[in-house]
Amino acid sequence: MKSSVWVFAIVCSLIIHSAQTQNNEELFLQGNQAYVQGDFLQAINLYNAIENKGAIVWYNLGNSWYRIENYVQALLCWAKANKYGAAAIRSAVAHNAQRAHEHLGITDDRTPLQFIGAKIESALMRIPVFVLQVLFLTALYVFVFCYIFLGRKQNVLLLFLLMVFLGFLLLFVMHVNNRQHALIVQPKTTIYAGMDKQFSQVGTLNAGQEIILLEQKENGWSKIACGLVRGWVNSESLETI
Amino acid sequence: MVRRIGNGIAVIVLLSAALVNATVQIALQLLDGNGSKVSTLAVGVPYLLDIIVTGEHTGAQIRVQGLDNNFTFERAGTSQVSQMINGVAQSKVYYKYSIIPQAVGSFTVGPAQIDTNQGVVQSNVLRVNVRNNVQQDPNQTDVLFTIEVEHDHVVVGQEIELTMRFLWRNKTKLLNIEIPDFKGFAKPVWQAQTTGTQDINGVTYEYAQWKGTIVPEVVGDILIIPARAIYQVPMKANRFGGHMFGAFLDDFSFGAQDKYVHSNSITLHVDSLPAHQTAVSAVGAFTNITASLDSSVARAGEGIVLKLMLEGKGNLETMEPPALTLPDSFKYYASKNYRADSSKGPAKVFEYIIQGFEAGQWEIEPQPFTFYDPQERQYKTLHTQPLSLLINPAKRTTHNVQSTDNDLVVDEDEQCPETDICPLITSGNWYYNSPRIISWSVFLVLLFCALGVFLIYFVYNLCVQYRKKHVVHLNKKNAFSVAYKTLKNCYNTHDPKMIYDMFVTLFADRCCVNKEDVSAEYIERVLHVQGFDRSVIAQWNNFFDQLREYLFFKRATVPQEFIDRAKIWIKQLEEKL
Repeated sequence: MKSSVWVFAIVCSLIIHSAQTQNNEELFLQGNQAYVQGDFLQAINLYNAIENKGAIVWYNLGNSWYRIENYVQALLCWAKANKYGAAAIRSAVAHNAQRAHEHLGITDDRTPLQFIGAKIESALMRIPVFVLQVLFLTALYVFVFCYIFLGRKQNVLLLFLLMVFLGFLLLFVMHVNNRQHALIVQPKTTIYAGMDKQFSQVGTLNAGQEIILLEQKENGWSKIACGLVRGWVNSESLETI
Repeated sequence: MVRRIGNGIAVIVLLSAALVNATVQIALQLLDGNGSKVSTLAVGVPYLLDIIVTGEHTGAQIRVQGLDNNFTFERAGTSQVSQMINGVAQSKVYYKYSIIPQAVGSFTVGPAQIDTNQGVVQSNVLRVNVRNNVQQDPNQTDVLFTIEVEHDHVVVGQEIELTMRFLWRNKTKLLNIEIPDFKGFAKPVWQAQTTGTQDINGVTYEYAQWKGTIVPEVVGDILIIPARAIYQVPMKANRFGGHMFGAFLDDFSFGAQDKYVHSNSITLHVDSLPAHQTAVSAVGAFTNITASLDSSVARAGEGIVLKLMLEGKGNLETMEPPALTLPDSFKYYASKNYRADSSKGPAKVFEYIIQGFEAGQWEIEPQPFTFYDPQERQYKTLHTQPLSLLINPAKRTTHNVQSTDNDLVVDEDEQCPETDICPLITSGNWYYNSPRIISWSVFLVLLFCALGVFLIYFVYNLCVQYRKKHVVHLNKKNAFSVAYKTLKNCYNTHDPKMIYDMFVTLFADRCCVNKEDVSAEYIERVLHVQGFDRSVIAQWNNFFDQLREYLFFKRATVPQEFIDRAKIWIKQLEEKL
């Protein structure tokens, strides 16, 4: 009796899940259709209604916001697409973001060092954590095996160095992936040296600029880093990605 | 007799006086800014309402009726006056309220009620007449504060110019202007302050002036309640004249007094707009409307900006964007609107994003704009000029994307346009797939497994090396316990070889030599060195020879008595060896 109730519950949940998935897929297709027909507001509403949005939905949502000239929202959606998406989406997002930055008047004023740093970070973010985990564990087990059974000191040392390198790489990628990014949504957002407007102004950010969110306080202030500048901004002026 | 009657009357009078005092009484009075009782009030001007309670009423609740709808009121403090009447202490408590009339008309204030032990006690009722605040008489004051409107009979939505002017003479200093809420109007738009001079009845006044525009949003009589100006006047001319710092103190207003003055109030009569077949939100005198496109060529589905520029005077701030009349295959939505200045005066620009979905040469017909002209009291319609627009067939707006196991590959034939964004992606996994990752708990278990194996091997290796290094000492230490163990087995087997080996091993371990080096002579030498008596050594030699005899003749067993002797020898050796 109990087992039949369980089976019934599992079947029901599978049916509900399947119906929800189908509904979301329909919303996605309808959103695409509305976009193609030029009804961008409708497309935005349909994409927004999708649960568990993937990179493609965020990308298309960004395109829809762009079409109605809300470039900040477009950048926010594309940033989310960039976070979850594969290489193809990332290249499209990079192209689109450039167009939006042109409209918002945001120029790339990074120093060559910052530019290289950003490129390295971007490249590291593309390495799947799973791959690094597998490589590290493999190197570790091979090292242990060789140490115990082969005892060739030179090979073992090389394996040990490889294992340490992979370990550090894994830690760094985890750190980069866990870093919270945010987008400035209010024009002319001032960065202050402290959590009050009475502190000195450190700089100004334009709407659409991406920053690293270091800390978020409950009193409505957030600590951010943008290039070499670190400071506090009003939490209402940014949206986390 | 007369004296007794007089005493009785005096007692009655005192008792009644005491009784009167014990009774709680309540009264209302309304005072103006000078402390005089008033019954005619000016709208928007604050007055003081005193609720006077006589008698003990600690903790009693006081209510005043008639203040809710037409007055704003707030508590302004409490004061108490005590006096002696016929030897009886009497106290009056003044509860003060600041009230501001908000509407013109006749109203009743009160009664005030207080709950006492004897029941509810009521006050008198005040009948007040509220009228519009009139302009001050210039002959009686050094300051004047006025509000004027362009028209006092308007239609809803009509923009009206409002002028607020503060005039003063002598050493008067304006501190602040408190502008009232314009209830029933859209948020007023103010221009910058201007200053100048004005002659009134031959007297020259300086003035500060603010001009703004207000737009009524409701129909009926709307009251603009007075604004308040706070200013400073010297208390006495040259008050510090005799003082060495007199000029300094005068200049810095140490002898100044703050005063305030209310402007006049105005009642506007607002009519509704005459009936019209479509809803009209524009009211004013508009002279021209023009339309323009940011591009005359576009692809199907591509957004183009259409601008409507409306010139003239009217409710430019509050009017809704006009609806567009476009061909059926077009869609539009209002994008933004903003004020602009044209060659003909003030103007407003409405921007729309329009999209054509069918390719071809299209003409956007003249756009009508209907508004109500309050001067001529009629509706008028302006038209834009027609516009032509070429819609080309749409480019493909979607990427071809192949899904390959949770990854996406864009077809390389499709390039993103240089001046536009990349097209939509229509296939692939639209849902979020959490990235594949080895659970961190599993990862740590695998990590520690490997480290554990490594550690065990390492410790084992250390133990082996230690044992190798210390085996001689360990053998020496454990030699007798090993011998006893072996002997125990000998009781079961009675094997002479086992006993022989046991003694050889015992001597080899204790003397830290190889077994091969242990011979009967060697043992004898050792025993000698260790201080055994010659007789004991002789006995030992006898015993050991017997043992070797057992071995030499390959006897399978030794008697029990021999094993006992071996045990005794082990004990003796343990004591000295």
